[in-house]
Amino acid sequence: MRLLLAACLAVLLAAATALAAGETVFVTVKKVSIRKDRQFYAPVVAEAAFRERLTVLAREKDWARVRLNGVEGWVHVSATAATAVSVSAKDAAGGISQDDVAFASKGFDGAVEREYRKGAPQADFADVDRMELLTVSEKTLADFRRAGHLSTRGDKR
Amino acid sequence: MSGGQGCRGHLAAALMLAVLAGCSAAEFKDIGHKAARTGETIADQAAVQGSALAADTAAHGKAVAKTTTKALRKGFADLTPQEEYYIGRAVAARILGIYRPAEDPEATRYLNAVGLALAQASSGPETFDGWHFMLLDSDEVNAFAAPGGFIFVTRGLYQSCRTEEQLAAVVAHEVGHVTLRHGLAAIKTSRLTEAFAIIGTEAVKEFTGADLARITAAFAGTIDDIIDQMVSLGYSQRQEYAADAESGRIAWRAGYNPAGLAEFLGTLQAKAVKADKKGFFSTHPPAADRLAKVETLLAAEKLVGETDPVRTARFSKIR
Repeated sequence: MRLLLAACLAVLLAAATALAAGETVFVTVKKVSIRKDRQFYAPVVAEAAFRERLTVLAREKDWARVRLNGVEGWVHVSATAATAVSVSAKDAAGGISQDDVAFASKGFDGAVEREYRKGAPQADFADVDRMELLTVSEKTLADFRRAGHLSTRGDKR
Repeated sequence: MSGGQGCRGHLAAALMLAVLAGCSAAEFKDIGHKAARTGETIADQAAVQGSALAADTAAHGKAVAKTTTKALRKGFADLTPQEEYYIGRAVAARILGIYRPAEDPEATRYLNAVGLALAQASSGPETFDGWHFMLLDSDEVNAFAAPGGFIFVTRGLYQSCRTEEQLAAVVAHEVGHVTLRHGLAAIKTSRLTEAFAIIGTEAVKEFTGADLARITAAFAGTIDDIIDQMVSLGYSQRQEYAADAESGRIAWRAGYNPAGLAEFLGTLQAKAVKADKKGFFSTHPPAADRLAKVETLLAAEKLVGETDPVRTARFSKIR
């Protein structure tokens, strides 16, 4: 019984690995750090920009081990989106085109915001721009956590 | 082809093609933010994709793409992180049209450090432009969470906290509203149906002025829906309890004492007696009910921690 269970687990693991191998995901955020380990406080080995394509090598919890330009590391899955299949003959032959990526992300965007601003004098976008400048560097955050004796608990999400 | 064996054969072929094709596609499936699709939807998607692969001209492929977009984008769960960001910016702009930012750089830096430590321990740490936390110059005891990670805390709420754990609990509650997408859930489905229909139809060319006007109208309605819910009506009690539960989990994972929320709610409960039902008091369930539920959750999930005096000391110094 134990052997059978082990065999089933091995088959499932192999299937999961096969699915992950060669899988491609796209970056859905402006910029994402690729890290040495699957946690936010691990060193950064590379950075990927919006719409950049990453090859997925493995998945664990909410993290994916990816390769970008020969560099391997971990990204949190909330920074990526999977894709399903090509939509044109060109794509079927050679992968996705930049046009199609643009198509996939078209929607509420900067052009819509510019139009919206014309009819929304009660909205203060200048202060939102200021708010976006409120960021915390990796070093500052690490120092803050260390000084406050904060260490993460639970599994690495 | 319709029904029977032929249809099953087509679906099987489509599924196989989808697996073989792996993951090159035009349609984003947001893993981190979106709920899992139903089997039916996945099967529909595979069938459409199979048709697309069978096409031998780009034009046909694009036509199928339109259908795919229409079929897949139905509600707020289908918004991309980029769209969520632009919605969040506009919601934040409306909030900042009502409240002014507090000019307190030290407290703002501190709030952002606490907030980011918590956001990184949440279920949705990566947002399109990162997380940003702003202190508002108001005595009202209130906080707001705009989609995409724009969090606001009034000075009144900030000063009602007695420890860093309590502040962390309040901020984690707002982070929970974002990761659980409560703001986006306020959008009337018809707004998105309208926008997605235009976006889907015009996917392969530039929008005309009329299209942009219609999308902008849907966008404006979207922002109104969220502002109405967030500022006037308040989230449902179920959403508030869910954000409280998420607050406990996030605070615990970040290394804080998850009892911070219970402690803060105790303070809130005392204040609510004298409060004029504005802000945090009018848009949240009774503090006593929340307190009871939070304590039950912490016990059930065995979330325990300690309040390190070093954190309380730095909070008192900055406050």
